[in-house]
Amino acid sequence: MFILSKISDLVQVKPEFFDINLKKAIIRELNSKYANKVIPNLGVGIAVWDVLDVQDGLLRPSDGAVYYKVIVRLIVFKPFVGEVLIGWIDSSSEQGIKIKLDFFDEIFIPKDMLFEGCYWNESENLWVWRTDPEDPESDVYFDVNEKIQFRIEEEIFTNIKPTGPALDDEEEEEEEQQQVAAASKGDKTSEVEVKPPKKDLTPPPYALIASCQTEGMGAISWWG
Amino acid sequence: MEILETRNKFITNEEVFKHIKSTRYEFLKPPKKNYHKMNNTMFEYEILTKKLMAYFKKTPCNHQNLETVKKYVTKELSKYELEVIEKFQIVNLVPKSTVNLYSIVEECDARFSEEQCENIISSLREYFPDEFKDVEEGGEADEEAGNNVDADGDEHMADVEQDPEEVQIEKEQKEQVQEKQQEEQEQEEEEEEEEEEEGDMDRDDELVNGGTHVVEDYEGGGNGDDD
Repeated sequence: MFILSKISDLVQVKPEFFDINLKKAIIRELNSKYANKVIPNLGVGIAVWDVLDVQDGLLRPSDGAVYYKVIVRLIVFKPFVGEVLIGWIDSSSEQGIKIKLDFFDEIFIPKDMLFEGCYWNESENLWVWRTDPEDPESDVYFDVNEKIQFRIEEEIFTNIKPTGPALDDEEEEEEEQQQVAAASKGDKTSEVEVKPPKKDLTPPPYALIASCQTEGMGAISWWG
Repeated sequence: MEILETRNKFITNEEVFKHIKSTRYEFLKPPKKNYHKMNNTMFEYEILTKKLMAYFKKTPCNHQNLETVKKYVTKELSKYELEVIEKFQIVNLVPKSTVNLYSIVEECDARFSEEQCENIISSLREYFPDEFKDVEEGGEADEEAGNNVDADGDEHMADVEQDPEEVQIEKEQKEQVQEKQQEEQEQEEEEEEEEEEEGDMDRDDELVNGGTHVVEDYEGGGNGDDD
């Protein structure tokens, strides 16, 4: 679930930290830099484990800070494919089940990766597993907040580029102004469309696809 | 930034838990007195570690400690030909039945006999008895009861373990608050004497209030973790 990754980085130590222990200042700086950040093709940074090497500090003209090239080991959240994790059901939809781990929420179990005999219960809004196909009373439920075990099948990294200056917004504003102008003229033929609020559709930078279809998966009490 | 080695080592949840627990307070308190709130860049770290702690307290590593884990791996698990990652998962998840063990160990039925699997489970029961309490007391249906037991256990653990570091930090914070209060008092006295410079004094008050807010916030963070 957690691994140690060896990384090298250039750390800026600001003058206000000159009077505290150098290693502590470096760890502090790196913790604030990497905590809860997705590192592309690696995982989610958690915290510095230990500092392996600190090279001599460098100064730059017109800058009071000192720059150190360091090699550290970082704790990274990166479950391997096939690993079994404990999590809680966040929400269910017809497409599948979303899992949360308190600190990481982008885990999804698609419907074809659930047990055989699972069906979507529309009235209850949750997935149900009929353990015995001929016995309707053998149903067990994937309740929200149920503690379940699941297996990691795939990890997906998405490179999210920073958004540039909002050119689209300006165009939209112009459109809106035109619409407002048209409406004020009393032109009833041009219906002012009410736009639905924009949904944030950008994919998460790091997502996990999981499965729940082999023995021992799902709620722990099912296999007691 | 450059990644030199993606996977230097695997570490158990228990190790991460202890590492974060022992170091986080150091980074959450201000590095020195009068350190302004606006300069606090540890916001993400504070939230992440808080959530991590919440997760770990609900998983088996809450009751583990490094010595028993080491002892368990070297004495018990070394008897069987398990892969490294399988050992890690056994320690992280503490399977309570052979079915759960089968899901962790690949082709378990081909590699090990049933007797061996039973032995692994019973040795787990011996080394990590806290994990099996819920199963025995709660049974299948009583999920809620199990959770309650868990919560009580957490509180108890928190009461016992929080003390040394946090008490120290709280002391420091109290001292800081006292100093701030003294400063405020002094300022009030000055204010009474010099009523002319009202504008300047107002600004000073703001600064002082800002400072105490920082302290309060940190206290809040510390206390919130105990819950």
